Amino acid sequence: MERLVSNEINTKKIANRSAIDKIAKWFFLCITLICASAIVIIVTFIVIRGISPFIKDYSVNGELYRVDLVTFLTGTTWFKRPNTYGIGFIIINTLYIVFLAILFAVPVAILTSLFISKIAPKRLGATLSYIIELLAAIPSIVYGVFGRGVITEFVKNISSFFGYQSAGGTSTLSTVLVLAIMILPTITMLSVTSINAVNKNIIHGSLALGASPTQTNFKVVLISAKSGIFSGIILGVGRALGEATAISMVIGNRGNGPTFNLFDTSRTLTSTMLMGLKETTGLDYDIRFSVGIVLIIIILVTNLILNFIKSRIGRVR
Amino acid sequence: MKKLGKWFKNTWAKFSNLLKNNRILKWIRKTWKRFLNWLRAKRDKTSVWYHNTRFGTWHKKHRRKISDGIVNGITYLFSSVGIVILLAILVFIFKNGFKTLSWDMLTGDYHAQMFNTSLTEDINFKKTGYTDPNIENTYFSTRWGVSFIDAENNEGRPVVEIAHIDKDSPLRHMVLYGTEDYIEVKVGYNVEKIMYSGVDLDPDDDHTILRKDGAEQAALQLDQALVIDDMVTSYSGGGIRGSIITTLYLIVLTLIIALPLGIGAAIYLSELAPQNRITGIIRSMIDMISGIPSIVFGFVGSAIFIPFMNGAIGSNGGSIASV
Repeated sequence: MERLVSNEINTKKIANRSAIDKIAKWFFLCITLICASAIVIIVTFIVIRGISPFIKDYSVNGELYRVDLVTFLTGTTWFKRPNTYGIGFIIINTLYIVFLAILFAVPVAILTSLFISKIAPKRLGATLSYIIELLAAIPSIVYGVFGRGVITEFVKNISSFFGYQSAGGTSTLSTVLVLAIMILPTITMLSVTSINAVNKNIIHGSLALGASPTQTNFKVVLISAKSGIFSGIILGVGRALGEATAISMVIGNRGNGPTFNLFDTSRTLTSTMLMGLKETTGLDYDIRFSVGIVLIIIILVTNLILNFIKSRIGRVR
Repeated sequence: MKKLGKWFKNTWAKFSNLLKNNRILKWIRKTWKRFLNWLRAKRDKTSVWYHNTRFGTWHKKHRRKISDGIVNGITYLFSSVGIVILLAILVFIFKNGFKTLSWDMLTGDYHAQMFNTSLTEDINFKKTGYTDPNIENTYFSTRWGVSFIDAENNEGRPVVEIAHIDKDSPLRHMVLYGTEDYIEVKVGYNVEKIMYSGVDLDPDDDHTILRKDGAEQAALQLDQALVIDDMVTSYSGGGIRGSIITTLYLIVLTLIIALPLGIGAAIYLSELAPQNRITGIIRSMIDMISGIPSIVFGFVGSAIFIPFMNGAIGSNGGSIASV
């Protein structure tokens, strides 16, 4: 066969190399598919186990029962013997608690991030952002212990000041405070990034027009960074909805509801899944997978809605 | 997705139109504006008076500065919240944790070693009056030659610790319950329970020394005992050596499994993958994993891996491989 390339080039070697390239590509593709299939496996298992209480009969105390889906989604009592489960009030309580936590955390987070990146002297800002990173690195069980030891005591004192007998401080308010502390670093870190990314020309323009630095910070910087701040809030909401351990330690797991009283015990979806676990078979266990499905759906829906709102308000005109 | 967005947009437009064209709402808006105008007129009248006062002229001159100062003050206040929280957590953890933190706790086992012992049959009662070594804060039993001290274990609970045993004391040759092995009760062991019998004892008493009795009571009661029927001692316990080792072991194992997978997927997605729709789907699937709450991972893990490991290696219950 006639060689079409110069003798200097080793065609065999090149062919070998491209073969290795191909093998590596397929290998990495396999790894990626394994990673991606994790979500499929998780969702499949959750759905299989979670649907079975509604379509399969379970034996409780020797008799066969199944759970009614409508009562399950709208019920105001978590568990009534032998087979009535309801999570309607739990969904409401969860959203209420997360909303309050966001309400507490967002102003603090935004002002802290503004302070770190615009107002504080450089060294103080660096220290503060280091502190925020430390807060983000603390494991949730430590927040739970802290909440149990300090925040519940604090809430107990407040409620007795108002003349209300709380259950040893385990209440909606303690949960909200713990959650607010936990999502504070998440929102702050993302806000700092987005505030640092604001175009310098806009700030200089505002200052040149005669606005004071504080006016510029609040009316120009924050407005132009609001898209990034909002994505921080979305992450914070996700974390707040999915948090289980710390919440379970301070919430008190109320059996019925919904409760909007700040000093009363409450119940979220995650604490429902975590607490009161006895056996790893049977109806009482499988119903927690159904709660898991509802939790995932709620997280997805809130994320969609918040992303939609973000795309609406995020446009800088 | 797009359809959903469109639906949202349409509904919002309809809703806002409804709000705009409502007659009652229009009336409310009009009245509110009138009220605001009235208020403004009134304020202007008072503000003429106000700005003629001494404070008023100062305020007018420094208005920008004052409002900026207030806003900045609020910012300072809010950003100190993070510091306060971190300090509170650190103080709380260290204040409560330092009390029981010790080298014994870091290196000890979680479960205490328990010794259920009784007296040897061929014990010689030759010596009964042992001499008190007179260690501070200890209480000595002259009949048995052992002194007790009040102490705290790794969990911070009060225990009765053995501070000294005479070298001829019969407690040095106890027999383990149910076996014929000899065991020596050593200094540093904790007394869990001693059941004794003797003559001229108070019949209402239960003839038992428990750890809650304290060292003084323990020594007093033991002096009345002629025979020790049952003596339970424990050693160490409440330590976290096992937890520390397991935690590190878990981290290493997890990294060994997760690092190649993660890096491989990253290399593929950023360098090798063609930029098409399927890659986008794979990418968003991997993104979705990070959005799933940990409790759901826990449940899926218990549903998949525990039965899998039970079948694979014949363990029962959870195991380290499933974690």
